[in-house]
Amino acid sequence: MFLMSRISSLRHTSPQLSGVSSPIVACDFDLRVQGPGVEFCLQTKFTATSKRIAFFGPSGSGKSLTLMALAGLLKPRLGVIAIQGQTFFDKKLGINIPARKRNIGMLFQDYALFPHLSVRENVSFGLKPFLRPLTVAHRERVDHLLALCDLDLLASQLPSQISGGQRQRVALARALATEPAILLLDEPFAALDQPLRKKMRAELFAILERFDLPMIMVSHDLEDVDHFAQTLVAFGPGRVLDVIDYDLRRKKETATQILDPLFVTEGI
Amino acid sequence: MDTNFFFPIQLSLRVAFLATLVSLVLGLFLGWIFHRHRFPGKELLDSILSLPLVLPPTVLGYYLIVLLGRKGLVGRWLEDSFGVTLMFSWQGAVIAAAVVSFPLIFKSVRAALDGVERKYEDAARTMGYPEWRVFLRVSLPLAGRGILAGAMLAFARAMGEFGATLMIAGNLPGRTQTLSLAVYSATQAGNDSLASQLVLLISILCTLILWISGKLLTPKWQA
Repeated sequence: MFLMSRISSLRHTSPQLSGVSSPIVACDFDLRVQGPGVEFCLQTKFTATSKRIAFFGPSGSGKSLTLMALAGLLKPRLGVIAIQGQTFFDKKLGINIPARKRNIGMLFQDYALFPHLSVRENVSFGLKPFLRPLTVAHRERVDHLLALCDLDLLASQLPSQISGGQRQRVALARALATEPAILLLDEPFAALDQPLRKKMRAELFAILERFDLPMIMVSHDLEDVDHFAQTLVAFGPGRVLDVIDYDLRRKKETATQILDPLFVTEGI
Repeated sequence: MDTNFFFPIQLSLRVAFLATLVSLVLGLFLGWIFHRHRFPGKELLDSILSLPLVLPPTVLGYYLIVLLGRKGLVGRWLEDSFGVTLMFSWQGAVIAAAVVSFPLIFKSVRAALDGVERKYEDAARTMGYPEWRVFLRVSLPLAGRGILAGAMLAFARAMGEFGATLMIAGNLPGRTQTLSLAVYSATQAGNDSLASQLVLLISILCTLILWISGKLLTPKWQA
């Protein structure tokens, strides 16, 4: 998988996805986060096989923490995490692949663009070798991504000098630059104003259409999820309530019909 | 104007510069460890490392003599192995100044690194960066101004160091007499004009340093 990621074609195909394959995500883990005076316990157990998975649930239910654990940025207390058949974490076997070796692209909630680096430096960040310039192939890739995300004219600007929508596209280009095997999107539209959301959703999904890679999106917005999900993982406080074949159900039911009973019966 | 005026100035600048360099290297290393790792006794160790901030300089001088003196643990080893004596040398003054200025850098590095939001470091990690590169490319540049401000403070503190320097390096005119020691000697000798010139100079210099340091602490980027 890691070797595959270095092929410089923009179209991304993952060998594991052809034919009968292992689930995109399979996890069963227990995570504890300690803040000052509070402790949050999260038990996540689910398997999802489609290419567009949405983590849906109210804020504070642990969706984002689950995403962080998948990316290797938080270490579960116990359990297993496997993505595309590859074990990233297994407490019993003592496996814990560090974030940098998981080949995961991540779009952070408020984008986390490096404020001291230009748009171009942000996008090329993951490709740049230590103390050496980008290779020609990588430079072309960055140019291509900047053009694709309509950022070519902003390449030398700092993140503080561009708009929220533009920042999101920089974050997306940056996450795609390293040719990840999977893309994680953490509340991609939460930082945008309501009128802009609809437009950005269309733009983001249009760009993602061109990349054939599996994605997991965290959202508490019904519309986001409805536009995106093939599989829906419903989160309640600190656990997974249900995994829904959203594509199948959506043929007969409306989004509200599918989702409302789930949270009503759970009293959320 | 004579060597009584110029020698102390150039010695103080040299001592303060080298002392700041020493404590910057140590402060960056220890500050990074404290930023990245959790270990038992961490806050106690932080307090011990910060002691020079509050201990009387004479107490520090005493510790340094115990350590670096002819009969001291490190002092004897240095003399036996290399024939080096730190007592009554300007290098001894560098060590005294480094010890008193170290906490200012260490505290600044720690605060500046802790002030870097985790999401930036995490973003670099997901893009394949090992920890040392995360530090060089993300944490250090984002914390840079805070660290530099701390280094300027440390420099000013090292310039003004008196007590520990007196105990370690003595007050030998033309050899170990730094600016602050020269002010003391000039006042004792009734040489008011020399004392006032030196006092004026160090006041201006330290005001400048504090002013620049304050400027550095105003944020440059907005996320």
